[in-house]
Amino acid sequence: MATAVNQKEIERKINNVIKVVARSVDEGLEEVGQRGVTIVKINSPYITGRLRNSMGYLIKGEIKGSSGSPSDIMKSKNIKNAVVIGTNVVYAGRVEYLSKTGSAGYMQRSYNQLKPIAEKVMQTAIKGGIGT
Amino acid sequence: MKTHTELKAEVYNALKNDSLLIDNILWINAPTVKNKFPLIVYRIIDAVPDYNFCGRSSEMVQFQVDIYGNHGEMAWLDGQHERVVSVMEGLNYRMIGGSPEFIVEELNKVVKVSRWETINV
Repeated sequence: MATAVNQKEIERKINNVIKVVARSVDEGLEEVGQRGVTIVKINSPYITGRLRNSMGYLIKGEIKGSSGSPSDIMKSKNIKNAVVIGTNVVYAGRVEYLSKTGSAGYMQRSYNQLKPIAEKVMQTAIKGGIGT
Repeated sequence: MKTHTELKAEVYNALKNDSLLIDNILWINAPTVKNKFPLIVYRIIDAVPDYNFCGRSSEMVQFQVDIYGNHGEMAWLDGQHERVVSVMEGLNYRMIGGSPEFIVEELNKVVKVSRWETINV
């Protein structure tokens, strides 16, 4: 009888930890999204501002951080445990790969800058959630 | 750690020495109508410092290789791309992202792009 109660207690505590970690991951991804969009907007080339304003981040099926027109914002998808940063502007790919003005590679550079930041943010979020 | 000039030379020599790749290889940002085609263009996109400790350092270097060809020669373009993949993987570069294709209206050509990264220690 004592063994059965302990097992249930252990399962309950493990489920609590899983929920806490899941919540921490969500909070961490939200911060990564916000920081990532800021970095991409800084690195995006600017003439009319269409490309820059269209940059947003997708988290749990919701697009945030974008102030562009609806057709320029990327389409929503329900992706779990991930944040997607990007745009739906039709010429974004050409600027990324073929721009002659020095703007080529703006997304790649943004990713390179964001990657170490994202690792630290997620570490801090998960450790904070678990309480270590 | 190799200098960027040494890395560029290494990539150039490897591409040039591949007998199945075209000979026309340039280190430029983008070709113009004055260039001869078909053409391979390569350049460094970014170099991200990694560590610098006790006299040792490393960085992640990322190259972009563009293959310019004619509209009706997509199969040839794919073949050239496969050769670039072999050459760059032989130099221990890893392909990052996909290999998109674009139509370059001002040149009336098609370009297939690939990006490569390596750790320069």
